[in-house]
Amino acid sequence: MKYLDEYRDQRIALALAAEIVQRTARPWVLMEICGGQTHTIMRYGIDELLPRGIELVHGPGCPVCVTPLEIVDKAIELALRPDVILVSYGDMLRVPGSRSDLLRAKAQGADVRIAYSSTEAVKIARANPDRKVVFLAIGFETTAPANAMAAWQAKREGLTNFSMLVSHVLVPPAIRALMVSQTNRVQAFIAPGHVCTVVGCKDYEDLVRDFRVPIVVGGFEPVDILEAVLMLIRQLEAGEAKLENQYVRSVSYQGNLPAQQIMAEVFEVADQKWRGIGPIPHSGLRLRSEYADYDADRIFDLRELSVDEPAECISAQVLQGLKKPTDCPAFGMRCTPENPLGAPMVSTEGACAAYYHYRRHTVAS
Amino acid sequence: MCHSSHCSVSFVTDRGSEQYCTDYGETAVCLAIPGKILEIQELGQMRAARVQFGGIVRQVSLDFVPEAGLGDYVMVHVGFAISRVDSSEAERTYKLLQEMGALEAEFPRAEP
Repeated sequence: MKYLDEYRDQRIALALAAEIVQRTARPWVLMEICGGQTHTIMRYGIDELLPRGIELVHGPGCPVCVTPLEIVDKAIELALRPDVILVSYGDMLRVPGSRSDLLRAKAQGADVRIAYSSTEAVKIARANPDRKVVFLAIGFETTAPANAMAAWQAKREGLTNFSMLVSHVLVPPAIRALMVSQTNRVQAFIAPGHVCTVVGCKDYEDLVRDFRVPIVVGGFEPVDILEAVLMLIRQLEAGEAKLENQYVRSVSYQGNLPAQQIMAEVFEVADQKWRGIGPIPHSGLRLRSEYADYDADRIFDLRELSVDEPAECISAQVLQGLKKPTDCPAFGMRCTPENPLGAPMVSTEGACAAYYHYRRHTVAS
Repeated sequence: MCHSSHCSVSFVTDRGSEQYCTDYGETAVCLAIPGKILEIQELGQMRAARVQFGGIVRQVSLDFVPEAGLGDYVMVHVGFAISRVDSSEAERTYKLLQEMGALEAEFPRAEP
């Protein structure tokens, strides 16, 4: 398939890897922000092509993983109400809440429906005027415009039975939080290509300036990742800190303006709690007051509970790049994609799931 | 399963017939995949397209990429095109990468 196959070309990948080996003189710690990139790294064994001194640590860019436990609990509580249809993206269904998950709620008779796109949730609301349709609107900046579009459409049509349970996170404040943390080891970042496709590169330029940290906006195929690593190594070895864009076929400096417009119309920046990490100031989005009628948190009387993560799950350290999934004693034993203790084992973007799918045999031996 | 960038691979069937991806078992909420616009559809105020991903064709909203036209490739995320793939940039960088691979084949480096 065009724009996929050529970026999986083994010959090019090996040439890039050889160039990285040649350019690397000192050890470096790089972080790929996005869980999609983590999966590519594990799937194609990219970390094994790199010189021993280069360590790739995996970032918090897994939307499902950082959605707070409390939101999952609220979604389950809503779904179990007989008057509610809860609509969600597929990968939220197995994510454990404090006591249950949406899939189990569905088995108990809750009307939980999976949508590929936010607009399908609006369609379900149109088709079921006697039911209350709640869309679980989670994601990073990549997904925010699509989710905003659902609220915008519902408002324009005057739908009174549609609302959204919103849990949206923003990448740059999370990078900032990582950089100021005492435990930080990361010396350079591969920024998430699809987030930047939407919001552009401006915020990342600010991060480069404020922390003198090299950042390369990277794509998701093996050649993309290797090229981004090479660009970072060149900078690091030369003592430079610049923002560079490897993913030029999709990312422009200003990003996607119509998408940013609908995001700004529907959402505003707010403080946000990240599962496993905790609260980060200005790191989330909430519905603007003009959209209060579409805010499930305001419409329904939902309990505000603060819940603790299972003690055995080390997802907090995994999401901050402090530990590898295989450092967890429960990995692959008491925690599997079928019976996950934490969200990173569930999601197709979770680091634990990536290690489980592509590395559990090498780990076991 | 239709998820992530591998959606097309597991769904490629006979080339003649169109396949709509209906198994939404898993939707990775941060991934986007490139597809080719086969047909533009005006749906009231919405602009959409039939977009081909390998052997699958899906309806995709073009609300965020009004500049995209027939034959263009777009990056698609949860049913919305989020960018038009810049074909000249893609070609230019790909050529550079290819040259790198070609050079490597001609002058292989010793393993470190």
